Amino acid sequence: MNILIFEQYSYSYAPDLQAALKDINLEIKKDECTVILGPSGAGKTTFCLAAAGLLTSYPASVSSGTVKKPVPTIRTALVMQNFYSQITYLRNTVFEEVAFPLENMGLPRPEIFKRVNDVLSQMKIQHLAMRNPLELSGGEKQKIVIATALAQKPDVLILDEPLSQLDPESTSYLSDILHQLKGSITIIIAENDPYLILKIADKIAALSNGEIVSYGDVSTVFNSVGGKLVELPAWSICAREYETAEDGLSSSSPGYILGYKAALKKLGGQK
Amino acid sequence: MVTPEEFKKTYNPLYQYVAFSAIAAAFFFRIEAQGIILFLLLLVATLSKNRHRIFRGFLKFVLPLILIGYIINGLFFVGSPAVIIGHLTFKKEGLIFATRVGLRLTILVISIGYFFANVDNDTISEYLIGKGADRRFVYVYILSVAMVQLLRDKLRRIYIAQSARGLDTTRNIFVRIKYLFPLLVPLSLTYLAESLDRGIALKAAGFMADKKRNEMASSISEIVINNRGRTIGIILFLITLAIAFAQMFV
Amino acid sequence: MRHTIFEINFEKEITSSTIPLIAFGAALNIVVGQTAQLIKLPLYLDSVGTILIACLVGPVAGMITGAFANLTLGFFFNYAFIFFIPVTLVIGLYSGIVARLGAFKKWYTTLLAGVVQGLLAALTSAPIAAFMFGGVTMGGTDFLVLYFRAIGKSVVESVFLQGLAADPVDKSLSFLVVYILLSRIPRPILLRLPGYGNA
Repeated sequence: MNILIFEQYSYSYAPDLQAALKDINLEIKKDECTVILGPSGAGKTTFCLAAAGLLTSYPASVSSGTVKKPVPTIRTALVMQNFYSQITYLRNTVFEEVAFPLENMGLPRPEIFKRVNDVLSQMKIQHLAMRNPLELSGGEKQKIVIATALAQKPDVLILDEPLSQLDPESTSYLSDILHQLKGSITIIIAENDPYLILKIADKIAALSNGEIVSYGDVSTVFNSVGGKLVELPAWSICAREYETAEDGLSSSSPGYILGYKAALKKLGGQK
Repeated sequence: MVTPEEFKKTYNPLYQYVAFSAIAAAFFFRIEAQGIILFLLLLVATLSKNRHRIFRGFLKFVLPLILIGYIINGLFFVGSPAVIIGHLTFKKEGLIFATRVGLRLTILVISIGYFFANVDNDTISEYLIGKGADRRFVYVYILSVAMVQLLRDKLRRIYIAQSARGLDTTRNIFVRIKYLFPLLVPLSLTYLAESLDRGIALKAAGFMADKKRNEMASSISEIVINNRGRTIGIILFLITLAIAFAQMFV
Repeated sequence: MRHTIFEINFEKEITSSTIPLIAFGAALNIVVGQTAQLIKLPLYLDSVGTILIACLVGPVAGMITGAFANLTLGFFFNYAFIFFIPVTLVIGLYSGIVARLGAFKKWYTTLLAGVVQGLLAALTSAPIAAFMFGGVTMGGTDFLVLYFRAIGKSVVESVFLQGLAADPVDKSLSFLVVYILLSRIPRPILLRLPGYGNA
């Protein structure tokens, strides 16, 4: 069942600017994890905003096509790339900050307390509950923003580069959480981290200059945009040696690392 | 495990009625009565918590204004001489005018300071929203206070970075005016972009600018009104109004 | 066209998208003043945020920015600033309207608009300073009030004349600062703002 349908959707921030999204046709299936892959400027953030229904009609913007929800009551939650701006600072404590959207949803107070306590526990940030959001580090703020999204129990969870400020331990931890959620919730995630992609992606949409240039499962997309899968001990070595490697292993091999730097390079160069 | 008890806030309306009463006295009482009101207000303010917040701004900004006011108005008001210091003659009417203004200003500033020193912003905002105030305005105020701290921190970091690049505050004024922009431009652009994103984030959090809070569930904060304080405050305010009214006929 | 220039639409300008912008403008008013102090400039420039938001969003947003800037200033420093809220309302309203008229497109129209703003600010602040503060102002130009009182002017006249000497300079400089800021805003950001055509 489709939960979100992009039908020939195009968006430009102004008529004289290059379109951020061009003729996007995509069907996101329920409980599937779709990764939006692409270099900087490809349109990943605009795509995430469009999926969340938050692409405001700015005064000069031009759009066409539609982003449809087959079931109108489908709820989305977004974790933005610039998560600093997602901390509202309207509350003095992390607990209240996470509860803010739930208050706006009109949930009963006991339900709000239960959800927030559960999600803080799930994210292992209960110790931050009564801290002031102004005092937190970047990584802590990012965890709070993710917790705020999860507390809403959305039908579609949209994350725009959620790992950007996290340390390796937190990255691994968030990957585990998303892996646990996989299958029970629809996830759309704009991300270039190879570990995360391998762990949770059902489908990848490769975005280049606002257009989807490839869509499908992991190996389909990487083969179509020039990526070959190689098994090497560390991803950094992989990235360097990718272009010289000749043999590839199948995506079903456990613990392999994608050498997709060349793939990204190719995506960036596509007109 | 966080419980609802952590978010129970007590709001004592006595503070707001003390401020209202003092403000009414500042505008409607005679000068002699205002002196008594000021004495009582200073006593109450000195005994309250956070008194340093009440007096800090007053002593730094308002008291010098009042003293300058005495000098300017005392010297140049048309009227009979009252005090002569060397070659300077201070006029009685000018000193009375300066006293009237000084008393009123002091009462207003101390009473407003007394209220804000005793009731935190969080409690005020939840109380106002509960009473039906427009959330937009309340949120603008809370966010402004938070943004001042954020901008200040960022400014400090930009200043350090620019100093390392040669920013020199001992140069002449035109050079220093030029220095304004390497500090101001990155600060403004960063937070302008962030504010645009924060607008999207507020929408993502379900904040509907056109919906009042009482159309939805109440917030997790529970405001408990101190009824005794409210009763005493209302009585105090009514007495003040009665005295002000009576003065018109005496 | 006339209708759009003088349109005062509260609901259109105060939305969930513009609330953070207004709060940012209010905070900027305070922090610009501190920036000037940091580099030891003898200027206050206390309306830069108000003027910027009035230009980028609209006159209503400008007025609200000014009002809350003074409220916040009062909270941080001195509650007496609250009494000058009417002046900030005038600054916000005027800035928003002249922005729509294209005042911020050229430096000389910006300068001229700033001078007029200074006159309006002097006119609005004089009665407040006279009644609430006995003619003594917040700035460092009280010696001008002293002079005008010495030559026989009344309290209100002295404060107004002092304002005429000081406010046009301060406001025109504030307008120029905003003009320069507007010129530095990257186009993709500018296009997301309701008042993008004013810059």
